[in-house]
Amino acid sequence: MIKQMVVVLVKELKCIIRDKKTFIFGIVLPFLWVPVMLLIIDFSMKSSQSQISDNVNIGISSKDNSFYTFCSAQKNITIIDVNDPKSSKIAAYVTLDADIDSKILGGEDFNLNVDYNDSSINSMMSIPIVSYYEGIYRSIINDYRSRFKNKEGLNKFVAIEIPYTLDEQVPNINTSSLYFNMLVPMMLILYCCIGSASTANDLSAGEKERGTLESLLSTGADRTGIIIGKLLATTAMGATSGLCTVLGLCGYLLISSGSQKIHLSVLEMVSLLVIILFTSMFFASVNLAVGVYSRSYKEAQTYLTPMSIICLIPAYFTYTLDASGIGIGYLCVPVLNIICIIKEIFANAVNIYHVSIVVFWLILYVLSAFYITNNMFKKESVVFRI
Amino acid sequence: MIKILNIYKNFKKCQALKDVSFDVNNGEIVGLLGENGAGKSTLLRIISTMLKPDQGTVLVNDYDLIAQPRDVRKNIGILFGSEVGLYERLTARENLEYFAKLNGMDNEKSKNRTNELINQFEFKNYADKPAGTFSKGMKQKVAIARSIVHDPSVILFDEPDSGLDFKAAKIVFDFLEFCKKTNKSVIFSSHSMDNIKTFSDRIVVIHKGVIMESFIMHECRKKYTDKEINDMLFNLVCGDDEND
Repeated sequence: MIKQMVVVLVKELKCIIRDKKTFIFGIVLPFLWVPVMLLIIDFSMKSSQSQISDNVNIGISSKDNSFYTFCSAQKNITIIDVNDPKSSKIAAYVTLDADIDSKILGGEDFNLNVDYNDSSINSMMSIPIVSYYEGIYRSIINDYRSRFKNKEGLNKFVAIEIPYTLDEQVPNINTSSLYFNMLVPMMLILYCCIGSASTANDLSAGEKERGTLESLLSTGADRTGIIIGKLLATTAMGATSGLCTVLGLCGYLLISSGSQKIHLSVLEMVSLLVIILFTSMFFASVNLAVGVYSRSYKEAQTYLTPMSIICLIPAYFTYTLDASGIGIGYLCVPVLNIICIIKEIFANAVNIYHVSIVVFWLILYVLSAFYITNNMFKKESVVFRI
Repeated sequence: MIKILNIYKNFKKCQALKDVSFDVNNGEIVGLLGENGAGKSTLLRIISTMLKPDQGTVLVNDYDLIAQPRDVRKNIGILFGSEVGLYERLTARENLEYFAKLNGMDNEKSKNRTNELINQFEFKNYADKPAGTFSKGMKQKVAIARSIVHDPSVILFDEPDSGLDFKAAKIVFDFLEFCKKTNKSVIFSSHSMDNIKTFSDRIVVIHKGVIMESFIMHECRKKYTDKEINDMLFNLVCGDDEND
């Protein structure tokens, strides 16, 4: 059986390598897609950040006061005359007491609230800048109160331009949390799944469609040997796609100048490889089971497309989950456990105990899926759908 | 030698085969004649161990289909219809070597046997080209060579003449003659009465899963004219449908 398994594996790998479509979609695309996508996100983030740092449009509820004068003096703040705090023309709206200056001079507390628009990225990105100037204004007022008591003097005192540089004073939007908490686990899962899906379809439903399966089953080879050979070839393709995703990510980290640098230790790299291997094997077994059941390549695609989308749900679900606080319960749920362990690895919080639990469950899932696939492959009602 | 013993096969509510029994001797070519859905392909799939019979069994060179399916498979070569089932990304040589290895041959033996077949079927000039680039006739040659790569003594052909042009069909029929010369037992199914009459030593007529009649051709030819044989076969193949 082992000899036939090796024969099938070698033949299937040969066919995979010679298929240009598989090579492009399974190897080249995952390698390029991740860095290209991250660079586009990076570029658009930086571009928006730079625009907002150059000029923030704000609205102020009343004119003729020291805050208005202070904001007018700032080069990168433009005051727009609007009445609606939710107007799309402004990034932030400042509501303050109409008699704010009198309150300042009288030593009373004053109200100064800034509202942002949650649904606007520009508004969200303006928070650090507006907060920065708000803080400076409050410091100036405190300084003034301790030294002077004259309103004319107040307006002159606040009418100073506060110089700033983007890098030093306005904090960068840190995108690494988005990358490593959601995008990277999602991409890895996606490519381990779809990388093996097309191959699994080709080696099972595709063989039925091309009429090669009957010839294969009429040989003296044991069916278990045949299906293990196919499973290993499918796993190899899924793992290669997963690895290409990681290599693409490393490539991006090398060329990016942002703050999202990452260093993986040998243990973390080995853990990542082991997880990719078993994840690919898990998806390969499931995809192969679906492929064996399907009458044609098209039918298999119909089943597998929603499955790859379902796999992404745990990535969204766990976006806010902190890598340092992952409970054992998460590590036992299929797919969710893979995402959690990838988060731990990229957060440099790898726990060998957690990795072992996930690998144990993955082995269990692989064995269960393989048991089902193998039995299906031996059933004439499934293979010939009669 | 093939012994088919009281085979029954049902698919859900449909009875595909009912009490089918006949033998095929060494060096004999048996033509299986029947309409679409008569049960020809089901019978060939049972003999090749792809389907299990509900009742009865088949002995291939004394190996029992139920108890020794792998030994049965090692003794048969099979070609399904005009769908030659070659791996298009592999070369002709690689296709042959793959099947030789799956049938238990080691590396050296599979290489030698492949070279032998390439010479025998005369496709040396395209043996190392991908099968996806072949014409139908070229594919047919390679598929036939692949079906006998492990030198089986029993050959099963499921409608090998279906959808083939003259040149490709000739390859198939030359091969049937080769099987006869080399003392192989052959069952081939077909819709074509002319082809069945020309190449079979015996014709088994199957209708709705039941064996209607079995003719030894050289005896038939002595007793009846060609037209009488045609009429007789037509009536048996169409069965009671003729009156519908």
